[in-house]
Formats: sequence, structure tokens, C-alpha cells
Amino acid sequence: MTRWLLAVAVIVGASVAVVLAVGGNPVEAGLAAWDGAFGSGLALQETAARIVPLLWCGLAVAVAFRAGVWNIGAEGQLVVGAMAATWTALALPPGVWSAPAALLAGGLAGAAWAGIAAVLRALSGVSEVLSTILLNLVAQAGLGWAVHGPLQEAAGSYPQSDPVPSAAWLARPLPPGRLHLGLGLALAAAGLLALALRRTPWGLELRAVGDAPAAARVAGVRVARMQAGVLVLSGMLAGLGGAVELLGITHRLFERFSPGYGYSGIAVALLGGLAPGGTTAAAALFGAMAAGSGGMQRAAGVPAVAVLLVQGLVVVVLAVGVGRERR
Amino acid sequence: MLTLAAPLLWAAVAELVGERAGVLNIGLEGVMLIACLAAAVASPVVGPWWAIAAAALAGVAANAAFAAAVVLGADQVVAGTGMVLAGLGVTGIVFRTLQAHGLASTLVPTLPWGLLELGALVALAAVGVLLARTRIGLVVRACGENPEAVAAAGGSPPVVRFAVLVGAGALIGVAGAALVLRGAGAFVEGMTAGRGFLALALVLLGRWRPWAVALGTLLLGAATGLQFHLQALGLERVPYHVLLALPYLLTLAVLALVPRDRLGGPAALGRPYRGQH
Repeated sequence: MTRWLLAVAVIVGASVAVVLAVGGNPVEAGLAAWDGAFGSGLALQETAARIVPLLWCGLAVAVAFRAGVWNIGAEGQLVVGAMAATWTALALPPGVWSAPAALLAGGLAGAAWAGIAAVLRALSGVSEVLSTILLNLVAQAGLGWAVHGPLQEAAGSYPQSDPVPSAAWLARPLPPGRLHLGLGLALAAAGLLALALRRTPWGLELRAVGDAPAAARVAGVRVARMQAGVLVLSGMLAGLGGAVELLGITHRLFERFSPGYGYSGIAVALLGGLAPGGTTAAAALFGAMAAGSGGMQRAAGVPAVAVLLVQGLVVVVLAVGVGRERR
Repeated sequence: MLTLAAPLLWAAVAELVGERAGVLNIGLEGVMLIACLAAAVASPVVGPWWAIAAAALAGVAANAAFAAAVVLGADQVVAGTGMVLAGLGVTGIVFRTLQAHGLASTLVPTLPWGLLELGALVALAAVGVLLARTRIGLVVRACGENPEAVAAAGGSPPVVRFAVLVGAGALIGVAGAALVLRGAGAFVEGMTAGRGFLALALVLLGRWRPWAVALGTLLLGAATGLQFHLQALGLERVPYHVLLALPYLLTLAVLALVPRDRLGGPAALGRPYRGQH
């Protein structure tokens, strides 16, 4: 509860400060943000659509952090997931299998990308903090290469891919709104993860490894193996997030595909207390903020990147709580 | 080559001294970005020399925020990541607002070769001597190895760590200034492009020894410079984005090859100090 109060205080305080700093009226900006997030059916759908990548990345970070694995690499894992999904959807003849195959490819690519960090840690003792950060930068460069090279559109004029065939798109039930099937998939993943964490021996072991690795080891848990597995699972969730965002929203790949979803996922997971349920609620709050920031930009001239500042501050403030709980 | 390496050198010194005091500063990337913007905004107004001071001040202010969280017992990895996000956000807001008002200069006055390059080497040597040969350096290192012992001897680890991070903030600020005033000549959103993270890796690879860190940084600068030369000469058709990824791939490869028992590092690195119970 204190966590949520703190976060809301930071969000409101920082937003008001930013609006005042750019010479806007905080009340007007706040109303515009509310309108952008909840003001109409379309706005609600926009909020729902914005929740999706945040929820996938939030879940990815939450499960990793819960096991004491500091995966800072959800960003890169999401990017390679989107790349793999694009390539798969473009390479296969379009059909009912297009979307499932692209999702599968995205998840596997994310898992493999995180797997590099897991292998480096197992073989050479490289901290996953550093390796996943470096892999983010490599993934981003790889994305730039792909949309300038092998995945560039046939017309060749812009650094972006061709749109994937519509057979691979995730359904939008209420057009022209952007709510899409990916939200359902993300919620299902959150539900599954919650069940697995709470009701299975695997979940019990995972939580034990995160809370007290030494005790878990004594109790017979293979800590290093568990953490490597969790890192790969975390990468798979982020990779799926990239694939879902591509098939549900952008339909094509371009260099600024991710405005930092992987890093935002850290804010989401921390606010969610590293549990799937809390993470879902946190993704809803940050999703509404992202949708609202569009309205705020139009009405009060507050650049939408303000969201990153607010998320960053939330992370810094909540980090104090994380540090205090551990050890 | 030294010009390419200078921002990294300044950043690596800052990271090194922080880590020797037991603080892993991932947020360096974000703080450096803030300093870049400060240098770019200040340079047309007060000139490029004073812009160094402006960038250093911005670095101090931003790193002090991180230091406050650390002293309050924050998890350093998490707080550092937050600083990266906040740095991206705050520079984005300021830069776009200046642009909207037509106040963002595209090209700013820059500096001649010299001070920032040679200064980086001097700073590295000075920090090395300070850490190895002085009483202050001993206390700083003790905070990184065994903060409880520092407290038992009457010192205050939180105060030492805070002071070290504030000082490191000035060095990170100069790193940002070097990037803008000796390199790009302008601010571009996200222009640090992972250099802060690279500094982190270089400190690890240099195993927390200043001369080794300097050597690694210079080698990396040389490799990057050589690649750009080869490309300019058309001798090698390496795609631009592969070049971009090269320093990170190189770092990953070296990390993978260095055996783990050779790494070591300050014993209390990354561990929040809890005080006596």
C-alpha cells in the first residue's frame, strides 16, 4: 500500500512540476490526461492497448527479480522477439498459422537472447546485469541493421519492414479502436504465472531462491539452474511482448519500435511488488498514463517523453523499498 | 583516438571511484546524458569553456539524486536503472520544449583538442594515486570492502559514499561535456548511446585498477577509430550498424573469456550499507 501511495505521489508531483516547468496549467493538463486515458470508448481502448507491452515486460521483469535474477534486458529481448515475429510472418505463406507461428518465433527469440546471458553467467560468471544491458544495445543495433538491410521494405525508401500479412494480425474487436487480442493473451500469461508461482513446487522453489538462496540451496534446490531457467523464461515473456506489439499494433518493424518498454517494465514490476496480480494493476496505471500523455501533449504542450521521467523517478523511489526488503 | 576515448575515460574514472566505494552506478548513462544537454545548452550562451563547468554541475546534481537513494538503502541496480529512464525523460522534455520555442541550437561552439583529452588521463592518474596512496583513498576503499569496519573505526560509510558519488558526478559531467564539445558539437536525444554502460564494463574488465581501465579504454578507442577509418577508405564493407554493435560484442566476448576467479572486485560492491544493529 505504501508502495502505491509513494508511486502516486511521485507521479502526481513530477507531472505537476513538468507541466509548470513548460509553462502549462496543471489542472488543464490533468483533465486532458484523464480525457486521453478514460474520456471516451476510444480512449479506453487506447489505454487497454498501451497496457499490453507494459504488462508483458512487467511480467518478464517481475518473475526474474522475484528469483533474484537482475534481468535488465527485457528491452533487447522484446526487440529480438519483434524481429523474429516479423521475419516469420513475412516468410511464411499467410494462413491461420501465421499469428501463432510468429508469436512462437518471438517467444523463442526472446528466450534465446536471454539464454546468451544465462550461458555467460553459468560458464564465465558474468553478471546478468551487465550482459543483459550490453545485449540490449546489440539488439537495438541489430534492429537498425535489419530494417536497413534484410528486412527493409521492398520499396526500399524508408528504414522499415513491409507490413506483415493481415492474416497474422491480432484481431481488434472494436475498430477503429486499437484494443486487440494481445491484451487477452497477456492477461492469460499473468494468470498462468500467478498460478505457477503460488500453486506449484516450481513456484515455491523460485520464491525460495529469491528470498533466501543459501537456505534454498541447503534445502536441495539447484539455485544456479533455477535462476538460469527463470532468466530464459523472462526473456520468452519479453520476446512474446515484442511479437504481440508487432502483430497487434505496429504491423511492421522500424528502428524506434520500442520507446523503452523493457525499461518501463522494471517500473511496472516494482510497483506491482514483483507479483503477477500487482504487476497487472501497475501495467494498467502506467498504460493509462501513456494514453493520457498523448492528450496532455496536445492540450498543454508537455512532451510525451515526460512519461519516461516519471517512470524513472518511480523506479528510483521504489528501489529504496527493494533494497530495504532484501538482506 | 584519444578524442574518441576521452568521454569513456572520464566516465570510467567516475565509475571506478564509485565502485571502489562499494556503489555500482548503472545510472551513469542517464547522468551523462543530462550533462550532455547541459553542455549543449550552455555552450552558445557562456562559451564552451564554461560549458564544461555547467555540465559538471549538472552531473553533480543528477548524481546526488542517485546518491541520496543509495544512502537511503536503495538497491543500486534498480535505482541506477531508474536514473537511466529519468535521464532519457528529463533531457527529452527539456530538449523538445527548447525546440518548440526555437531555442535549441543545432550546432554549438566546441573546444580545441587538448584539455578534455589530456585532462582525462590526468584525472585517471590522480584518482589512482588518491585511492592507492592517501588516507582518504584508504577510507573510500574500505567503504567498498568492509563498510562495517569503517563505521567501527568511527567513520560514516553513508557520508563517504555520498561524497564520492557527488564528486563522481562532476567527472560524469565532464564526460558528457567531452562528448558534446569535442565530438558531436550538438545535443541529440539518447546521444550517449550506451557509452555509460560501456564505462561500467571497462571498469570490470580493468579489474578496478586505473591503469588497466585506461589501457582497455584506449584500446577500445583505437579499435573504434580504426574501424571508422577502414570504412571511410572503403577497404571493408562493414555495415554501419555492425560497427555500432562492435564495442558491445567485443566487451561481451572479453567478459566471456576472462575466467571468473580472476575478476574479484570490491567485496561490498552493490551492497547497501545497513548501519549497526
